[in-house]
Amino acid sequence: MTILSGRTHTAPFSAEVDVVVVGSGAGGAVVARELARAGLSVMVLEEGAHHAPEAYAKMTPSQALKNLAREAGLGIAMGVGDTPLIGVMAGKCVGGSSVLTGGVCFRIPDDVLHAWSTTLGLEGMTPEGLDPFFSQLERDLSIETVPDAMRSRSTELFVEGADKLGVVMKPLRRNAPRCKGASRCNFGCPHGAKMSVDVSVLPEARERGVVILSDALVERIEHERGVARGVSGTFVGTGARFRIRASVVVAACGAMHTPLLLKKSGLGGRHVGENLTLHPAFRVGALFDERVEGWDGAMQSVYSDHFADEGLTLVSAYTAPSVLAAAFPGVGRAHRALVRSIPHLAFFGGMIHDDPGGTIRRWLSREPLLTYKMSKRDRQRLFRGIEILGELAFAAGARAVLLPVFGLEPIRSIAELRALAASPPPAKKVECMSFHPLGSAKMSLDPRQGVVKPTGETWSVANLFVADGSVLPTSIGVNSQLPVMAVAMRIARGIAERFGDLRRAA
Amino acid sequence: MFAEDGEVERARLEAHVRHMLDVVSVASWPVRFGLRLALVLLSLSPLLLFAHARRLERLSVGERVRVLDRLERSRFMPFCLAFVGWRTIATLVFYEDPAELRALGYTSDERHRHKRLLPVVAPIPLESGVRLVEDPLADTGEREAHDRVEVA
Repeated sequence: MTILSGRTHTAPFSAEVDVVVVGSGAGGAVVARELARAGLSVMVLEEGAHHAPEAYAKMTPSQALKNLAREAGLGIAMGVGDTPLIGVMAGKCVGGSSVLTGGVCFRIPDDVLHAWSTTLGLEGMTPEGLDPFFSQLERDLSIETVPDAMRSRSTELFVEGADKLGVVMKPLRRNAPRCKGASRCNFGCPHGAKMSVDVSVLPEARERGVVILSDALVERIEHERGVARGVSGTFVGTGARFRIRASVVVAACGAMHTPLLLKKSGLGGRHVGENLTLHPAFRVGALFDERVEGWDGAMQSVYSDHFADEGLTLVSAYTAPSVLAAAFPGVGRAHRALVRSIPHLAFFGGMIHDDPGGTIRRWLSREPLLTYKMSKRDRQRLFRGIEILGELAFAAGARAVLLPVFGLEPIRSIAELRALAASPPPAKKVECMSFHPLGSAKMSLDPRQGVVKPTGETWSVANLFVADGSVLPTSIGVNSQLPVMAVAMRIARGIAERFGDLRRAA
Repeated sequence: MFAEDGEVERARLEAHVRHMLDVVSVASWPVRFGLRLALVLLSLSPLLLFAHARRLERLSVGERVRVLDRLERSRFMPFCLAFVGWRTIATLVFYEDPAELRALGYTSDERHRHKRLLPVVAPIPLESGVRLVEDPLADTGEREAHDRVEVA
């Protein structure tokens, strides 16, 4: 048995390993497996609980949010100035956010890597340099193109609208080879078809001897004389203390909690918690005369980079009816009438390749205070994206369109859409979500410009590495799970190669 | 919020509230505190909006709807967010009820589209007279026969 629950530990616990990894999501799982493959002893500490994948099918969306997500899915980025209040979704369970993604897998776009390798000088961060990692992960996660037959009717209408406007849609690639199209991937795949890391990467890690300790909240990275020595914390539920000594510490708690852990450990340099990007995402509902029943088909199956130059990626999107209902405008009968129209509604989504505007701060609780100031350019992108999605909806034959603006009734004509685009409401009235927080402990060539070296090791303390979305120096404009895994794998290989030196330094 | 014709029955409402509080219970205390504050704001909203000299819970359903509608449209974001925050949680939980899902036509977790990818395992003998068609409803006009849904 290599998944232990901290909830059963009432006595103090201590252990000594080669490497301790904090976090079991996309980054931490890959690091653990790679280092176990290199013959090192590894322990993974996860604040959330372990749920067998079979349990996901039994959870309603609200139960899944309660059991699998941080803050029960109620986490937010507080908008500064004219900025939307952005809901931020992150996992808190064994498997982390990979359990809650739509399974969409992109490589980092070439133009982003070009900027990283040239402007920022990050050697090896090129399409060729990362290709071996992406290639292996694409095999490990069974990533494949979503077949046309798996498109929901909602997606078909999205494509029809795009075709009429000359917008090119492309099939997505996902890590769900046996997808049955339940359209609720973001509450844990009910069919075990999605290759989240708890069913794809961690099983091999466990076979190779990695011990996963769930319900274990790491509160501090222990360090002496500029070298990381291990971590300490408490078990959730019992409050018993634990302490893990290790030659190498890897923080992989995600872009919101890694900077928080660094700050709590006295390692909060000027850049820790800064530079956060969120990929603000929005969706538009389109009401059709026909029954759409968008819940039958892959949750996401096409995308468009047609507007990449404008900082926008369009994606098909659907989710559970209760979640859709939760975002509808209106009160009482007006709201209920909209809910009753769900079988006739298609949903089209988009996200912004945003500028860094977020900050992670410590405050009153163990969760961070997240603030986000949307740049003027991103506000323009936001309304441009909403306008494009509205145009696609009307082009596809929608009778009415629901825009993501609080209190705004459905609009019924392209003229209304144009009028709104010409005189947009305040951005803070727009409903946005974020599924890809990135960049809050960014990689840099110079300690004055970032938090970690290109190897992933922190500039402030030796033998402490960061291997999650927080090291990505900019937003990437596409779903981040696979990029995070590739960068984490690269960092892990570097640790394995240098482990002899690292152990001597410890 | 959910009354179609009259109030939702008390037992169901209480179960609904318990479910909501259960979901919220795992959030950090600042989030729970913020939601509690939002609830106070909602309760006092008729006074704060100079709409009525009574708390929200003492108003009739029609009056409540009008006040909540004003809150949602308010340019003062704390008002708007206090309502939208609670509406999100309440709606999420309410429409998980199997009866509500059935009313939407979401009759089961059974899906059909993926079956189009399944191979035909046995060829149908020619002499059987059975012919497979890709979409049995394609030529019958039944697809257009579904009811139109009106938006309020």
